[in-house]
Amino acid sequence: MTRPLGELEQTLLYALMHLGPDASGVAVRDLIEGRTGRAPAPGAIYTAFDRLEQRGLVRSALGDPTPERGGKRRRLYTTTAAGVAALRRSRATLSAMAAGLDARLGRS
Amino acid sequence: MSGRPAPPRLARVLLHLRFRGETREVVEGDLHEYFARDLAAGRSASAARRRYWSMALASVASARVPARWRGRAAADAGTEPSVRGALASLAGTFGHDVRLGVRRLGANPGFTLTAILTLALAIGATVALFTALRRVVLAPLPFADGDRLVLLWRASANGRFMLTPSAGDVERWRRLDGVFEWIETYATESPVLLGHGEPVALSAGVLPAPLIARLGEPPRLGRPFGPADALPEAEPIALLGQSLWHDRFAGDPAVIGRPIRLGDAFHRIVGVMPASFRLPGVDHDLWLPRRGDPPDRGASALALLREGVDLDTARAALRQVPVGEDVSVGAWFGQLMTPGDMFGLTTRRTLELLSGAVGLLLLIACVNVAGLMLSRHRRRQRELALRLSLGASRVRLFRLLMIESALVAAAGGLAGFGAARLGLQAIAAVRPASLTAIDGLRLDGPALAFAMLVTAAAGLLFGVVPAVRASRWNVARELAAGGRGATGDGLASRGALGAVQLAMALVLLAGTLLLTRSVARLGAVDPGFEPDGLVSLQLSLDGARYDEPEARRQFVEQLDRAMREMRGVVGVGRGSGLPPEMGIVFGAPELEAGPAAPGDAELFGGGWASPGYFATLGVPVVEGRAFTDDDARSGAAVTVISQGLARRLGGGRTLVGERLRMSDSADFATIVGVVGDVRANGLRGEEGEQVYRPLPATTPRAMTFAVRTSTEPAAMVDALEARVWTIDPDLPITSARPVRDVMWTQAASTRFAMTLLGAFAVVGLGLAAVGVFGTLTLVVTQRRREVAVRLSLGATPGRVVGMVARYVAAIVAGGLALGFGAAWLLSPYIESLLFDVPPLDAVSLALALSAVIAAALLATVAPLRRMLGVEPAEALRAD
Repeated sequence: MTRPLGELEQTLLYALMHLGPDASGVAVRDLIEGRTGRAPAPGAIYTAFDRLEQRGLVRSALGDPTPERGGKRRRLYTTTAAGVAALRRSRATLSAMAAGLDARLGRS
Repeated sequence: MSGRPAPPRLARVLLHLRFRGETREVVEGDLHEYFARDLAAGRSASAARRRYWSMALASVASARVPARWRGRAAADAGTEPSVRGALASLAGTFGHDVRLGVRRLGANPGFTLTAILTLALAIGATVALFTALRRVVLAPLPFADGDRLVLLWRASANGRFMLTPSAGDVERWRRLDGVFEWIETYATESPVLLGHGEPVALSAGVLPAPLIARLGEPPRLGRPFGPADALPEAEPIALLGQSLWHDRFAGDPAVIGRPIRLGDAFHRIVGVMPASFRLPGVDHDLWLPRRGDPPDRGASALALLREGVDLDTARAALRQVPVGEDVSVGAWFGQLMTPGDMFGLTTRRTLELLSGAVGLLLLIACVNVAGLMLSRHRRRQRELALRLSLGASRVRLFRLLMIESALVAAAGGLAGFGAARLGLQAIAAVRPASLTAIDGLRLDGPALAFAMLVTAAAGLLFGVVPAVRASRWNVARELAAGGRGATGDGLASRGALGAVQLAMALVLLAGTLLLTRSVARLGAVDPGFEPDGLVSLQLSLDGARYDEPEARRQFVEQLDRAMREMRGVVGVGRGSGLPPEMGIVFGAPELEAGPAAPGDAELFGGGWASPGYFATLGVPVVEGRAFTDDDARSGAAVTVISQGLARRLGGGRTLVGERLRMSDSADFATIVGVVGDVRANGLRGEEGEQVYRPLPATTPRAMTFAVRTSTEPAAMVDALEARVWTIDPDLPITSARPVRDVMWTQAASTRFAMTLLGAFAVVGLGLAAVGVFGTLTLVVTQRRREVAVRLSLGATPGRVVGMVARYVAAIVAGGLALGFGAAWLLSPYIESLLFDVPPLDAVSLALALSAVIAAALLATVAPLRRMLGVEPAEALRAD
């Protein structure tokens, strides 16, 4: 019924699940960088989050401005039930496809 | 903010441009957070800034792709796409079309390269000439208010003579109400530079202290003149010009404060002026402050018009003030010239003519590229029709084709801008001596703007018509025709384009031939003397050691003897000038026995002449005798006039023995001889009327030696200079040149125009031929089937040739008719540059006509051979 999730979208949803409710963009990015060694640009993260929010897969709220952010507010993200469901579906699709290929792909 | 490192401002601006509202705030906050964290972790401020930059750039770049996805997602969801989404999608297809255009052009390198080179050539020539023209005609003075600067002169009532104003005249003009912001006078002196290589006479501008500040051009090094420098007791100082600084001081910035020896005086160098600093009409090597009062005569007057005062108003105001009380002859009034006028009408006309020519060249090039585009679109009509039938809108198709044109134009413009640099060098290499302003010209902002304008215009010119035609094609017909194209369609317009090109090439060629013939005629003019083997040596005996006339006389006699003893020298004479740059005598000639009232004052060639002058020059003595040593020594009141003047004054009777005076001198002088006429003031001058006087008893400081050699005169120049310096090693030589060279430069404007116009004509004819070739090739391609059918049905090759010949003949006839019409319309513009050749000279036009016909025939040969070589069966099978 809906479009499958892209790789960046899945990565973001996984990160939110690790971090729990009200995770900031910086925290998400740090987590991705820590786990994968690469990090998407902040701009890319927010446009992807926008997309996810439009589809109802995440919800967000504005936080308070802080001095270390130069007086700018942060946006805090939380996965919705729909987001967890979408992630589950895409994981199922991928594992179904990957089943039996462990020998050739290697386990990572 | 103080002390604490801040995130890079420019990167933040970038973020602001890309992101809006909350997203901007959140992204910027994130970047700031990382920045603060980096600093807290002990990273350097520059490392933190670098990271800020890289994340900002990555954010801006990464946000582009999702923006388009978002547009699509919104469409999926059936929601109204936002304006930004629509713009993004348009930008997306635009970018797509540009990429497509680049790929298509790349796929056809032959076409692309031809089109770009054609444009580059024409745009390069146009931009180079525009740059030169701008300097000379449009903005000759690089100063802030350059368009309001004017030179003030006093002119004789009949307008034929201009003199520099007297100090009293300038005072009167200054009292005029509300016309001039200011008037300043400057004189030009020729001090001798000593101690930096060979002694050389420099051209020094003697300026009132405020002038440089008024012109608003600061020195590139050091300081300008100040009020204290103008005091009579002030220390002598000098400002160097850029080229003097380069040539004689190796461009060393340490010259500031050092002394420079000018004649007998030392001046301290206080600064160097930039190359762009030049006063109108003169090329000064350096500038000295004027100390004390302005000179009474001989200074040029430069003025700034008040804002809102136009030239005519200022002229009318000058008319109200009588001036020139110190001049004995006639009535005088103030006249003004713009700095552009100073370059002379001929030079201006030359450049205007060349601009017209280069415009024609540009048109030819555009027509060519339009032709190329048209055939290219035609070859692609199947593809284009397919796109239309698959739902591409005609607007989109038009845009696609226009983008291709724009890409070609942009590449051509870019290459053309590069070519313009070479063009400027080429123009400077063949420029006439009067156009030193062209040297060192650079392509600047206005030139770039002009190039972009020309490129855009060219792109429109050659892009629109083909694109409109192509996007209007009838889809069904095109597809049904299998892409072979509807026969005949566009042939008429292609033919018309070819005719226009040939017409323009004809105009360019005719102009070139007219100028070439003028130059040839100039070379064949009988100058009235024997220029071959003659060297002109100009000297100026300046400095305190020549203050006594006796010292000057001794030097001149010693030099005269020394030169006569040189091997290869067969005659030496001297005078105030040599033709074609002769001395000048001004006044109204009046015979003692003749009509009582003299006529208007006129300008005559001549001046003073030594006893050997006429013999050395080869000017024949027709009646009476030349000057003798006795005339020179005794200061006798004698004169020699030329045949032309004798004929006019005497009306047939012999004038030898009669007494004549010019209105500016009180005494009559006896005419002792009549000599042949010389073409004096430039070879274009009227047949000469000359008045000569004997060598003055007080040897003048400035003189020109005429040296007749039995060997190659150019080879003698160095030896003659060396001989001068064995007598006085510090004496500057104003000029030493074979007289033939001087005469050659006299024709410089015409030769300059001829050279450039010739280049344009050759390129233009070549392009026009390529255009005709392209048209015929298209005809052949389109009529291949038709010809194949005809040939297979028994038509003879002769009929095929006849068909092509009729088509070519129509193009050529149209082109010639248009071309002759244009040549007739344009003929007044070239007239002033011609010498002894009418602007509609039959020989020139006939030659141009044959060249155009030959080029058209040449362009026909290959396509025709291809057409006759068509193998009927093969051609039909190919379809």
